[in-house]
Amino acid sequence: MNYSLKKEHITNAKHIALCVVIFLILTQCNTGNQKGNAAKQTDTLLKTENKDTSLKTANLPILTAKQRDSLSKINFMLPSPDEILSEIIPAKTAFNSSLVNPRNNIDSYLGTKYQSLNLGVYLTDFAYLNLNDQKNDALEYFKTVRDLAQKVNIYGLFNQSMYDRIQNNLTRKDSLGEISKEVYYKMLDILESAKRNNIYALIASGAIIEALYISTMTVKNYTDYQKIAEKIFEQKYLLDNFSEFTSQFDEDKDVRSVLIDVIELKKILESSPNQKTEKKVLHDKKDHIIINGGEEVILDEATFKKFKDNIIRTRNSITNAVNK
Amino acid sequence: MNLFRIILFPVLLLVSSHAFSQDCKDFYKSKDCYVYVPLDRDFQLYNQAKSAYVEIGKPTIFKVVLYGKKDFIVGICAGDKYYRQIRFRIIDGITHTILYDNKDFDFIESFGFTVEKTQPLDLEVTVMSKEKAAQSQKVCLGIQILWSNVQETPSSKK
Repeated sequence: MNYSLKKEHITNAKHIALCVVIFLILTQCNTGNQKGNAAKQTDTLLKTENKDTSLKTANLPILTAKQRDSLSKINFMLPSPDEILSEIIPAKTAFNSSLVNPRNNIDSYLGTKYQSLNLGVYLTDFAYLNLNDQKNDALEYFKTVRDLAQKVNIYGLFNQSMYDRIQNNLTRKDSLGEISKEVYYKMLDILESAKRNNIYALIASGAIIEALYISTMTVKNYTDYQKIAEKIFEQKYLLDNFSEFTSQFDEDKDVRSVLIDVIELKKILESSPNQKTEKKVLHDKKDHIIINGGEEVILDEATFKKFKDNIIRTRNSITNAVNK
Repeated sequence: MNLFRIILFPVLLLVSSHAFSQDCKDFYKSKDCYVYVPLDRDFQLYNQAKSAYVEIGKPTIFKVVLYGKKDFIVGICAGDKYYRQIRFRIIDGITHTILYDNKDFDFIESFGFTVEKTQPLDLEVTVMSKEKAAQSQKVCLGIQILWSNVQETPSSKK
């Protein structure tokens, strides 16, 4: 009697263990992305579709496997749109509502490339609205970000608690800025964990291009806005790091086409003359160090104009993409 | 009973690998990575904080652009499975000159500095251990940067 009871317990335990294994395997597959399978399928399709067989004809050398491998060992710490905008645009600069991408454009972005790029654009617009206390519009743009994120299979980020946090912080500019940063970085984390780096690169490209577009358009008159222009020129370092990061995924046709635009923008900024001062590390009180010197950009109106024309063209080619 | 063991092993493996990766992903948020900031200053998180598994003894590079006229605090931390020290160097992203090495400051894991002009920097972090068993083992590493506008001193005001 006891023996058969024990046997029954063992059989039950086996059944339970089997169920646990199946459950764990299923949940493990979904880690970091509630619809991981759907996303993986989309990405596999995207990779197959986007594997550019004519890459050698483009004016950008393809990375060797060794270069790709060494780049993959580097960690790039990139700024959020919120950080770029607040670095370039002074706090008291007038807000210009015409600079953000209209929300109703969302319906015209049908392919993953333009959905991802414009998700980056809207994330920057959300940050710009937050920085300028445009609370109601910011909330509407947050919804647009959520809708577009779902179209590119990013789930698990926009829940009720996130909405509640935004609603509760509508009157606190700093808190909204933190939320904006958090949304951006969490989204990139989700994509990184799911190994969807091509989508990551496209979203970040859209975000950086929009941040540079908004900043550049703020400079109405070059002579009166030299401080902003100087900060824009300094973004050559950011574009340099970013293009290095993105080049790891340049086998993807969509990433590659955006990378060519980013490199073009970087080259324009790099073409501006600069004055180098020797870098010195000074030590002051209690082991605090000051990194002194470096490059100082010499402002050049012609280069700025060239950059402005280029960033307008690049940004509009993303936001005006109809039925792509 | 054998079947039970066969099932149990992958279960434990899956649970532990999942728990491990999740632990490391958010490691920089843990109390092991707490960064002390001056109470009278408003420091905020700068760029995306990172956590990653790294091999003991091998340097890991974090590329960053630090904007000018700002004070920064860098906090680095690593899992304490082994007795270890963390070496941290700030390297000029253009000339590759070493600008700072925490070896000269008793391997402190959190420190503040000021950047005058916007520049690209490579932050090189190496988790070191004298224990032979630790060599080539992987440990979770976290890094975060905090920033604040430069505090104006009477001499810097014009």
